[in-house]
Amino acid sequence: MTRRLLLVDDDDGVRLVARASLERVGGWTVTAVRSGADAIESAAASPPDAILLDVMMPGLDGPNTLAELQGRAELAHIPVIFLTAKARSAQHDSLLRLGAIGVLVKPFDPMQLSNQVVALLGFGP
Amino acid sequence: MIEPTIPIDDDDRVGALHALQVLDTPTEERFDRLTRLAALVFEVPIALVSLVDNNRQWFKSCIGLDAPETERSISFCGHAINQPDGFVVEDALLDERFADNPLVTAEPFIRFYAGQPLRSPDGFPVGTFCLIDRVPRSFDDAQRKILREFAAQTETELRRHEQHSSMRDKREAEERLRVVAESVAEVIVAIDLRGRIVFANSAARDLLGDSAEVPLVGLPAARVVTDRSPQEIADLIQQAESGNASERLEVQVRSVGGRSIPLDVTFATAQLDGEPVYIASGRDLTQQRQARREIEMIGQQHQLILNSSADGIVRIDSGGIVIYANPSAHRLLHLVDDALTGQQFHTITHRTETDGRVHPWMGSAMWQTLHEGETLAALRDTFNRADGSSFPVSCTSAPIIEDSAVTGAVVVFADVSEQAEIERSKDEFVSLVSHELRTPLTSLKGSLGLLSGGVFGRLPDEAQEMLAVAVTNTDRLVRLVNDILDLQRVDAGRLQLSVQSHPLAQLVDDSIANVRGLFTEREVHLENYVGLQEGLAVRCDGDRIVQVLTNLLGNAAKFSPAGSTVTVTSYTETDLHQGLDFVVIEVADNGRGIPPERLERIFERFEQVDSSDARHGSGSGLGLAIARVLVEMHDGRLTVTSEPGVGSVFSVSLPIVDHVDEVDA
Repeated sequence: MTRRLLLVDDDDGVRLVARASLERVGGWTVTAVRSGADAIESAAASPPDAILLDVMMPGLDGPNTLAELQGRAELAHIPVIFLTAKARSAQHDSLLRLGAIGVLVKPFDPMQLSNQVVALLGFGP
Repeated sequence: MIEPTIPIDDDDRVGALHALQVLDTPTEERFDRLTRLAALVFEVPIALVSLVDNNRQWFKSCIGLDAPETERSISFCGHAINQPDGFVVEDALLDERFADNPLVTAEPFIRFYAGQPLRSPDGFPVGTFCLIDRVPRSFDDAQRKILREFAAQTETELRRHEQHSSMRDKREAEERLRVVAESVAEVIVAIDLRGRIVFANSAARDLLGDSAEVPLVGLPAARVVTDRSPQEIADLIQQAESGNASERLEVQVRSVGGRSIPLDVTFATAQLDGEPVYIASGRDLTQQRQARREIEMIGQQHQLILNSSADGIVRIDSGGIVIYANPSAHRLLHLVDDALTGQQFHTITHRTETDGRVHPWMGSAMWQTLHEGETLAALRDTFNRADGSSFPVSCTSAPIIEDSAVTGAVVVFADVSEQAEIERSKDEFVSLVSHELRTPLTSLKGSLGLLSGGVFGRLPDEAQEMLAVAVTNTDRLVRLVNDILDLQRVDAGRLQLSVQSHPLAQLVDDSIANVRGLFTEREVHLENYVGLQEGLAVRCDGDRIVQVLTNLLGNAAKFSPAGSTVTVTSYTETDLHQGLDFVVIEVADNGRGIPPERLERIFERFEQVDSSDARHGSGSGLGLAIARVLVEMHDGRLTVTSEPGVGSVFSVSLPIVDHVDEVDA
């Protein structure tokens, strides 16, 4: 049984591409949701092995979703990687300070995305 | 021998002699004529006008004797001056007072002497008119009478001599004064009691005019003074005469050109040729007035500028205390006028940060200006108002340097709330655009990458080729977006460096890792001579310097022919001018080179060496422009040398701050 990633992004295209990349290139099992609220609900229902979380989303954005997850004892341990369209390291630093274990930049190389995720998590699918 | 008796009042007598001012003066014909005549009349070989000084007798005139003087103690005249009616020694050898006198026993071998005292105007016997012979003689009353006549005539000549010399003294003194008066820049005139000018120095003649037709001397003073009536001038002179002269007055005089000139005049009374005069010496106030008017005008202008300036302008002393603050400074800080004067400017404007942090005075911008003499321009800062609220300012603090020491500073500040607001919304906009551009690019790049990567199965070759074009250009679009956002930050002054110490070799290795694929793809060799043995660390924003080196290496790969070699080397140098050590990193290629006329232009935005560059693919045309800005933000330099057909060398020089053993942990 492969490990499962929860992919959270409000953009349909990004979700489709990232999912295809992680599943087909990386071999992960991926659950994809379109909002922070959906992510909490999904994680609560069935905790994933790791979460890839978009930063800028309507409603509950990435940082607030992370805070929500951290506020729940049963979800706080799940490693979170931000997936951001903000390119600069200063912004990345502030995201890391929130408690994420890594930051990946959009646009990403679909052939390399899984490798980057594995490198950050320290485990593969 | 008996020495002559010294009279009780000899000091007065000698004083009277000295007052005649005849001792030690050259011989004069008017005295010599008398002694010559006396020698003829009395048929004696020697005739003298002898003056008896303290310890000597000195001959104003002497016929038949070479010595100019002899000692008083052995003199015959020393005796003679004590004898108002004359003194005669008919045979010195028979006279116990003189028999053994050296003047008798030796040259000039005096045997006969007859002397008649010469009296000064106030009656002191100052010397004698005397006759001497080397043989004994008798001297009758008739002869004594004639001798007295000679003495009387000599006295007359002596008096004339005295008058002559005192007049000469007076003339000399007057001449000296005249020279002084002529050479000073002050206007000096003497006015007699009738109000006429009796003397005018050269400055006065130049100012007031002096010609043969209208000589200045002789004119009534009222003719040149324009702001006093003749009556007033007469009154002034009257006052001067009675000793009540005003010490200082300002008067207007008519200059030679007809202009009215203000003079600052001081007055004194004096004697000129025995007449009392009124001496007026004046200074031309024209230039002083002009200078004062100019200073007042400049002062008014400065005041106007300071009062009208929308910026706060504050002068602080070397301790940071406000000496002056303009109205805008008070307005911007919501303070009433003059409330700033005497206050510590830094403290009053930096009470607390929004987070409660206190800004220490030491090390603040103003402190640096005062202590380092540095001009700190256009600093962004936050000032407190009187009510504790704060607002963003752009602030410049410049040192005031007097006698090569910093004595204070001028602080100019402007409220930049509006700009800050504009910048904030611009940042928001850029951030949004950034997100909105990247999101579709993510989908594009991702789907194309997966297709091209064969994730969905092998595609026909033509389709694969088309996909490769799409992937390359998507990457190019991504870089363009990144570069444009970078430049926007640079232009807005919002690009911030995150500075840490980085080993030089690590920076180069990281950069090479980014372009390794490109080199392989283009079959270009890469030789890296920057090893850890360099032992150097650079304080920099590592990501940014890697970005710069990656750009240079990428360009070198792109523009090098297959099979050629790109080398990366480094060395250190000292900029003596700046007193800094620099590390220089060179990226050298064997590409086609850059024509000299384009060398500098390659650092401009959207500039490529020629249109064929587009074929080399994927450049945004912004890479070098950004690289140069990034290097300059590190106080370094990015330069290029190139030889068309041979290759180019790009050099990045960065100040060395650390050595590797001091690298931040």
